[in-house]
This record gives sequence, C-alpha cells and structure tokens, in this order.
Amino acid sequence: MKKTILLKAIALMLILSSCSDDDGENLVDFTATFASATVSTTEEETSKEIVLNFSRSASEDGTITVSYSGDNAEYGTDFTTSPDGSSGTISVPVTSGDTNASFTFNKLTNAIEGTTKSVTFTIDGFSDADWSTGSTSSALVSYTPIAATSGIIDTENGGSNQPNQVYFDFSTGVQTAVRRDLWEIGLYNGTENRVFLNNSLSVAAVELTGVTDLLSMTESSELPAPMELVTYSFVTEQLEPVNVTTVAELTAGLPIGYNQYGNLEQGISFTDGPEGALEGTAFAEISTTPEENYVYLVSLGKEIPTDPAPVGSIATTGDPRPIIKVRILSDGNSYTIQYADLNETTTISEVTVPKDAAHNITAFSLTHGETVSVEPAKEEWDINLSGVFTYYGYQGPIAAGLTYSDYVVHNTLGGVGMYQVTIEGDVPTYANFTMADVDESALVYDDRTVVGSGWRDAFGGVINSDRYYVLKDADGNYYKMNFTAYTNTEGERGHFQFTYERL
Amino acid sequence: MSLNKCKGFLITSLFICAIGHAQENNTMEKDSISMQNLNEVVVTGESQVMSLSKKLFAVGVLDQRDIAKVAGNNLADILNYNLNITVTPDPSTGRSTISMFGLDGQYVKVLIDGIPMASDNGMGNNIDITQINLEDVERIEIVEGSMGVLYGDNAVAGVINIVTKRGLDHAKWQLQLSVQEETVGDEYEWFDKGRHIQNAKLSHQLSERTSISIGGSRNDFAGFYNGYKGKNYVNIQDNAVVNDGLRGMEWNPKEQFTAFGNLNTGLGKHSIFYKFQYYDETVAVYNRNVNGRLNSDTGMVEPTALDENFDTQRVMNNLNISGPLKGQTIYNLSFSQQTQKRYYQQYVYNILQRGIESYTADNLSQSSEIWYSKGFVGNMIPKSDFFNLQLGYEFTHQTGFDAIATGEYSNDVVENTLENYDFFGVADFNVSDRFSIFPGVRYTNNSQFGNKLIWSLSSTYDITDTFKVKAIFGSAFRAPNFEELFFYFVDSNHNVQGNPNLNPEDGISIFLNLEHKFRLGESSMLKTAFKSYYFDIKDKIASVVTTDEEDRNLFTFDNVDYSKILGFSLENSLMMDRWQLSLGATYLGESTAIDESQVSNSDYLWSFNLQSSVGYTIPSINTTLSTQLKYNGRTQVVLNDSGGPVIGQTDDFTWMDASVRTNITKNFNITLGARNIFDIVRVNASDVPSGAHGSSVSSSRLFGNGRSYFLKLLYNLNFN
Repeated sequence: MKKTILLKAIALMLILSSCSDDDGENLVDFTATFASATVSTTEEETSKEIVLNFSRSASEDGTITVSYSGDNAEYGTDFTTSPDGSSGTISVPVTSGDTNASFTFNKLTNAIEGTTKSVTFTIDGFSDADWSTGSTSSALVSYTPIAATSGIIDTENGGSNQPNQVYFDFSTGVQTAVRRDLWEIGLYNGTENRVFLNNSLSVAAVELTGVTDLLSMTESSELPAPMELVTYSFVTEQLEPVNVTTVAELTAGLPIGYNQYGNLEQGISFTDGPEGALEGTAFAEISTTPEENYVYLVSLGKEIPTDPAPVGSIATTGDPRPIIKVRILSDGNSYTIQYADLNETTTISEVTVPKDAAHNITAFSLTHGETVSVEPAKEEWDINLSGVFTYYGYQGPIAAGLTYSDYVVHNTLGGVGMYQVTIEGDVPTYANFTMADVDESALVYDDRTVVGSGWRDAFGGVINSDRYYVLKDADGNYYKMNFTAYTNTEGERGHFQFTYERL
Repeated sequence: MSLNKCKGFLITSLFICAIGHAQENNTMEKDSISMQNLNEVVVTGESQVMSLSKKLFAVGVLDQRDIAKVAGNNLADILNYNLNITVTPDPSTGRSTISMFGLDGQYVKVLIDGIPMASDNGMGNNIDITQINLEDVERIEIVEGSMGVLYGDNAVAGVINIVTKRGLDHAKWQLQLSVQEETVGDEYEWFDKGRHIQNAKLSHQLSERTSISIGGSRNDFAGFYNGYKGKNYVNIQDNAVVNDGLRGMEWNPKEQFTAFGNLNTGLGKHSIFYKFQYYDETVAVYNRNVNGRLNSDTGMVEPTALDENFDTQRVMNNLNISGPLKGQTIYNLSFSQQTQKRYYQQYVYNILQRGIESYTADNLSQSSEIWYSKGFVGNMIPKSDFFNLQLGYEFTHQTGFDAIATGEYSNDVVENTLENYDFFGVADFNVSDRFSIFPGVRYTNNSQFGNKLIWSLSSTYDITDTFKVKAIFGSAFRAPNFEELFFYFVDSNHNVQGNPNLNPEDGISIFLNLEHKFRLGESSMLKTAFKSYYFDIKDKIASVVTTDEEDRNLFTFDNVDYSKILGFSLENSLMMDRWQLSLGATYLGESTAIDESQVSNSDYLWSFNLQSSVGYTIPSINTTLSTQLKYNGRTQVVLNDSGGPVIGQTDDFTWMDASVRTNITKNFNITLGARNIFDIVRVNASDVPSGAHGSSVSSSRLFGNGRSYFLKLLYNLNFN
C-alpha cells in the first residue's frame, strides 16, 4: 500500500517540478504625452490636430482633461477647440484599444506682425486614477513659425555600413543625409585658400615637395628627396622607421590603416588634423603663386561596403579606391583643380570652382570631376554625424592611421560651440540641466571633435550615460543633447538616436 | 501561486510517509554496501569487452557508489574530485570542459562504451561534460596517458570511458524514479532559481540473456544570479536607461533533457548490445546591455535587449557485437551513427512588456553527422603462452559545418568532410609469468593532414601478486580544431584567418605506475599507487602574426609552441570495516615554450594538488556518510605579452562536499548533502585571456556557484 502511495507521490513530484512559470502580465504604466512640445502654424492654416500619444493601448474608455492658457489669444475670439473648451478645459475622449487621442485647434485670427501669439495646452487630469502624464505634459501652439524646442531624432546614417553622413540643424530639426563617397576634397570658401580631405571616406594626401609638373611623376618615379617616415609594426608592436625613395614606396604607406606612414615628430601627416583647423590640413595652404603649389598624391579612400555587418558590428571600409595625382591652384576667388591618374603622362583634367560665400566648404568629386552638394548652408547645420572619421594620430603610445565609427563633429567653421557635461559630484543630470547651468567658457569653438565617438562604448555595447552635451548655435540658441542609442533594437549599428531640448 | 503551496504540502507528506515507513523496515537490509565495496577493489571487471584494457593501463574507476554520494546527475558533478582532472566552466556558454595534467579538453578523449562521442565540431574531444548524463551509467573509467594506438587522435592526456549499465541482477522488472532539488549558491525557488532534476528509468530482464532499459532525465538549471538581476531588470532614470551591467545572470540558465534506451542480448555465443540516446539542451543567454531607445511618438523610453538562445540536439545510435571468432580468438565490432545540430536564435526582448518583439536570427548554426566503426580481433594466437596479437581498424566519416567556429564574419560557411582510416595492432610478449611487454602501432590516414604513425610500448612486471609495476610509453596526436583550420574574419582593420595547412600536435607520454595492495585483515585493505609521468608535446598550435601575399598583417595559427609536463603522484586508499579513506597528492610541472623560434624557454612551473575522501557506513540505520575534498594548488602559465613572455597564475582553492545517504526502506533512499562547502565562486587569476581589444580583462576566473545544498529522493522498485 505504502509503496504505491510513495510511487504516486514521486510521480506527482516529477510532473510538478518539471513545469515552469511562464506567467506574464502587462506591466507598462499607462501614460499620455503630447506628441510634440511645440506646434507651429502658418498663416494659411486654419486648424491643427493636437495629438496625445499613449505608452500602450488603453485598456478601458475614459477621458483626459486638458487646460489651456493664451498669450495674446482668447478662447472664442482667437481660437476654439473641438471638443468644446469654452468651460476652461477640454475633455478628450479615450477609447479602449486606442494608442493615441487628439483634439482640434481652430484658428480664428492671425498674429499681428512683430507680436507673439500662442496657446499652451496642458494635461490637467484623467478619469482613471491609474493614468498619468508622460514626458511632455504641455504643448505650445504658436500662430507663427518658431524654433523647435525639443525633439527625438533617429538619424539616417543608414545601418552597419554607415553609408551616410548626416548634418543636423537644431533650430529647424532638419537632418540632411549625404552619401560619404560623393566627394573627396572640400574647398574652403573663406578668405584663406585651403583644401580639406573627406575624412569620412579615409582620403589621404601627401605632397611631392618641389614637383610642379603633374605629368612628370608616375609610380616608378624617384622622389625629389627621400622621406624619413615611421610605420607601426604588428610584429614588434611599435613604430619602426621606413625610408621612402620612390613614388611606389610612398603609395604603399599612403592609404589610411594601422600601418599608414607618417612622422608626427617631424610634423608629417597624410591626413587633416582631427580638430578641423585650417592650419591642420594635409594640403599646404594654396598659394596664389602657381609655382608654389606642388603636386600631391591623393588616396581616394575606401569604398563603402554593401554587405551588412553581423549584428553588433560595423563594416564601413571596403576595397581601397585608387591613388591619383592632384595639383590645386587659386587666384584667391576660385580654385583650379588639376588631376590625373597616377601613371598618366599626357592628359591633365582641369576644373575651376569659384568660392561660394553661403557654404563653409564646397565639396568636389575627383572621381566625377565636378562639385557636389554636401554641406547645407553654413548657418543651417550645427552638427555632422559623419559616421566614419579617419585621421593619422596617436592611439596610446603609437601613431597610426585611425578609423573611427559613430563619429560626431560640430560646425566650428560656422561658429557653433559645444561642450561635454560629465556627470559627477553635484553636476546636474541631463533632465535637470537648465539654462542657469550653462558654462559659457566651456564652449569649444576650435576643435570639432568634442563629441567624437566618446558618446558610446562600442566594445561594451552601451551608450556612455555619464555624459551629455551642450551646444550654442550661431544664432545664440542653447541646446542640451543626449544620445539614447547607437543601434536599432535589433542590434544593427549605424542607427543613432538622440534627444535634445532648447534651454 | 497555489501550485507552490500544493507542492510544499506534498513534500512534507512524503517525508512523514517515508519516515514512518523507515521505522518498520530498517532491519531488512543487511551489510550489502560494505560487501559491495570490497568486491569493487578486488574484481577488475575483465569480462566487459568494451571497457578499457586493464591489462595494459592503470585504470581509475568511478562507480555508481561514487556517483551516488555526490548525487551526480552529469559528469561535471563528479570529476571535480579526481586528482589529475580540473573542471573549468564557462558561465557564458554553460559549457564545462576538463583538463587533465594541465592539458585542456582538446587533449582528452571521451568515449561511451568505447565509442567516441560527437562533440561540437569533432569526435571525442573537447566535450562539454555537463552534457553527459549519468542516469544509466554503470561506471566511469579514467585512463591517464597518451593512448593513441588504441583510441586514435586526441587521446593525448588520457581517455574517459562511460560504461552503460546493462541487465538486472535480481529481478525481472526494475523501476527507478528520483527527484533532486538543489540550491545554486544560496539561490533557490520552486521554479525560477536553483536546480531541479527528475529521472525515471524502467528496466526489464526478458530472459536470461536479454534485457532492455529505457529512461529519461531532465536537469533544469535556472542559472546563477550572483548579484545580477535577471532578464526583466532595467535601470531607468529620468526616462533614460542607465546601463549598470546588472541585467542577466552570472551563469546562464540551461535546461537539459536526455532520453535513453538499450537492448542487451545474445545470439548463440555472440553478444549484441544496442544503445540509443537523444539529448536536447537549451541555453538562454541574456544580454547585460539594454538598448534604451526612445519611442519617438511618445517620448517614453522602451528598453529592449538582444538575447540569445542555443538549442543543441544530439542523437546517438551505438551497436556493439562481440563473440568468439574461432576457438578462443575473439572479435569485437562497433558501429555508431551520431548527429548533432545546434540551433541559434537571437531576438529582441522588450523588458517592460516582457515579451519577444522580433527575431533577428533563427537558424541552424552547427550541424554534424558522424559514421563510425571500430573492430578488432583479439587473442589471435591462443595456443602460445609467449606471444599474442590483437589487430583492429577504426573508421570515422564526419560531415558538417559550424558557423560560429568559422567566425560570424565568414561569408562562406562551407560544409567540411573529414575522414579517418586507421589500422592498429598490439602484440603481447609474455617473457615470463610476471613480465610482459606490449608493443603497439597505429597507422592513421586523415583526409585533412595525411598519414600519421603512432606507436606505444607498455610493459608490466608483477613483483609479487600484490605489487605490480607498469610502464607505458605511448604517443598520440591532437588534430587541429575547426576554428584553427577554418576561422575567417577579414576587413580593413582585421585579418584573422585559420590555417588549413596546420599539422597535428604530436604528444609523447611516459608513465610509470607502481601499485601495491596490502591486505590488513579480514575486511581491510590498503592500496598504494605511485605514479610518475612525463608528457612532451611538440608542434603545439598557437596564434601567430605573419604577413599575407599582399604584405598585410595576418593573424593566423601555426605549429610553433611546445610544452613539457612532468609530474609525480601518490594515491592511497584504505578500506577498513565501515571506513573508506583515500588520500592522494600530485605535484605537476609544466614547461612551455611560446613560439619555438624565439628564445623564451621557461622553467618548469609547478603546481600541487591534494585529494582526500572519507566514507563511513552505519549499517544499523542503513546510512553512509561521506565527504571529499580537493585542494587545487596555484597554477601558473606562460603568456605571450607585448613585452615578452610573462607568467600568469590562478590562485589556489579547495573543493569540499559532504553528504548523508540513507536507505529508509529497501526501495527508497534519500541523499542530503552540501557541495562546495568553502563557497568558491571566483578565484583570483592573472592568466585570463583578454578580449581582442583588451577591453574585457578580468582578474578572476569563475569556478563555482557558491555553497549549495541538495536533496535527492530515489525510489527503486524491483518486482517480478
């Protein structure tokens, strides 16, 4: 008898202890938030739908109470709402299953030139005590266009190959995505005559000092003078000297990579300095005296790969593009670009490009021999999420041609200043940072790499949450910005997200 | 949860019931345990044709009693206490591999009834020993030394053979049911924490020569949190995710299921044994990092994590036929077909919603199929007392691919086929009654690296009937693994490629074994064994930097290192009435040269291990108390650093287990015990390899999950 009881008991235990707990419940709090903190209307628009988004679909019917206050605007004379708000509040209905609700703002008048006119709507209460307000509790509806005050931006860098660099303007909230391989050199439009390299495409250049005849040099040519350079060796794990006497030997160390040649002690670098200063370019200043402008060998960088990288990784640098020879002249108001294939001995291509005061630089394609539209006008962008960023420089004790990803620079040439806030001690968090906390003297105007790639830890796989950034645009608007992601939810790199707010 | 309460009640009533039962029956069982103990030592078990040859080698045996006293469910549970074996777990993958004499799992061959087991991308070596279930195991045999002639490639450090239990001794039917509940460190809950094991086995003796057995085992390891906060944890502050690295677990959860069956029968004078095994394992890997993207509609943070799931399935069919060929000449034939598949899933887990948003990968990442056969003819010259001969063959055909070992960057995950044709022979020269010499040779033809000749010479000299000397001089090789041959990761900053032209690593070992048995009285015996061993491994595969055709730096593998291992051990075991005692110590030195071409010869780096166990049986209450201890001395290795070779080390630590096992009735017993009494989790180490970019340097090595307690209830019913 007891045997069978025991047997049954153990059998039951076998069954019980082999089941597992799969219970789940919906734990997301229900919150409502305005879709946008600011809504601009144009003179032509007579009504605007104001949207409230929910954190999840509503599990029951109810209402959200919204109050309003006008600035030079009266309910009934300047605006009405639907549902009706003549009582001082608007009851916005919520239907079970919906993920948002909305009401309509009807504009009855327009703003008088030179005056402000706006209505601020604020979430005031809920029919359900469990509901609460989300991140944006009020929305300002302006009768005139106004500068954006906040936003969440999903950048269009384009995934794990990071094919695009993205220019972003905080005051309009506009992002401009441009393929990295459209251009190789950038012609400076200021008073100095300078040429930048596209460091998002690993372009590098070396001067053949003393050579002014573009067609005289080919791969087999001797250099006018030997060059004493160094290169990083994986075997000895340190810099080893390398003596270069021919063009062929020099081109071996021109493309950007760990063993790119250089000699920082002698001030020799085949890339622009990372800071973006005019004095740091690989090209010497272009002289208006033609014979002072020498021939350069230009590595056109690396192709953008097309196969996506595995989850969590990047593939931003593909096959090497060719090395060509280039000579650039200037009369002070325009640049003349002469170029030819490395072994070309008969024909030179020549293009003259006038300076364009609206832009910092004019992008030029040596591949297609024409200017290309890359940068927005100089006051219409604040930061450039360039993705790839390359330069020859130090990494610890060794110097090498470095390739970064997820890189961000700001528009120093356009007068934008930026600094990093590192959260430590009593430094306010991003959420608590206000205009009063801005440290004007910390704004950096002479180094575009304030953000760089330090906002994320790619090896650790996380955003560095100990820092955020403060930016002052050329119009004097202050913004705080905080990165929230560098991959999409599926782990693919090259999908950055940041949030920003005007102070 | 009402189920929990119900289960608590059940267990309570089970105890009351069991204790009541015990009082009635505790006189029924006599001293069967102690008698069994004595038999184990004296009988060498030569009758089992598939067991390792005790004539040629010193074979260590772990039997069911050893398994029972630690309530071992898989091989990793019991090998920790072997003097020359270290079990190293990898908490991120859930794998545990062994090292023997300081040589890792790639140098140790694991067999089931003499047939090599399919491993992730090989045959027999680098086995995850947590995957070997012990429910239908009769005993485990451990042979130390290079056993290449009899067991082929990778049997460099030694061989571990798992012998399946077959047949029933006393009854026609036997039903065995057991449940085992364990804490993992101090973590335990009915479902979501701890370790939960259920076993069931039914055996039937159909006739005198025919028996069948079927069963299953489930081992649900819920993971080891150790301060981590599980898959539903996220730290949100001011609508932003703060990645504090606390999501997930220290040791990922793993659920294993094994189903097995065997048939043991005979036809005339021929014995036939068939074994089937199905194994399924699921390992969940929780990402420590949380993606804190904001929902651009609501502005609210929507934390997600990219989690992974590995599901490994293995099917094994083993067949063995043996019998007399002619007169006293015997034959033994084995056939095996094994498949292993590993499925990989990667998915986006929404932490607040607690559900899967989407799958980013769901595919078969590894697959292999193995056809294997081994056969030999033994005792070929039965009439001669002086000379005898054994001749055999071994054949392996393996096809498969491994997308992970070839590198996630590999564009061409190609299917590879590997074939081995081996022939071997061992001769006996019985010079005198007490002195024998056994020279052996094996010829291997491998489709990857061509021909290879292995040899061995062993001899035994019986000074007296109880004092025996064995000397074994053998060679073996380790074949390059899949990753070393085929890994591929090339982009602008990386150029890492396997080397398909690698040669096997050659190993030679010399073992000297002196064993003396002392009979101390009617039921007392002392066995003392002294061993000295030497390993010389040449052409060790190591990663090297070289340049490819385009003069770019290439990280690859080559046969450049070598190592020498010298060791001494002394093992004593004493059986005395109700006591079983053992005490052993080993002193092992390893000398490694990293990259022979460079002058970086190191001196021997020595380590000391100690092992002891005590067992005491109280027949009046059918109870056995046992405890075992192993001191793992500090180990040192030579590491290649940018400034030249440096010595890294792992500190010493001690394992200790204790258990009480009591037969409450003839059919029902309980084991209650504690594992890892010294509460070992991490051990300081300066020899942990860093990540490719030196970003994840760890200064400790994880060995255990802290002091754990277990309770096993076993019900064993015999009936006719």
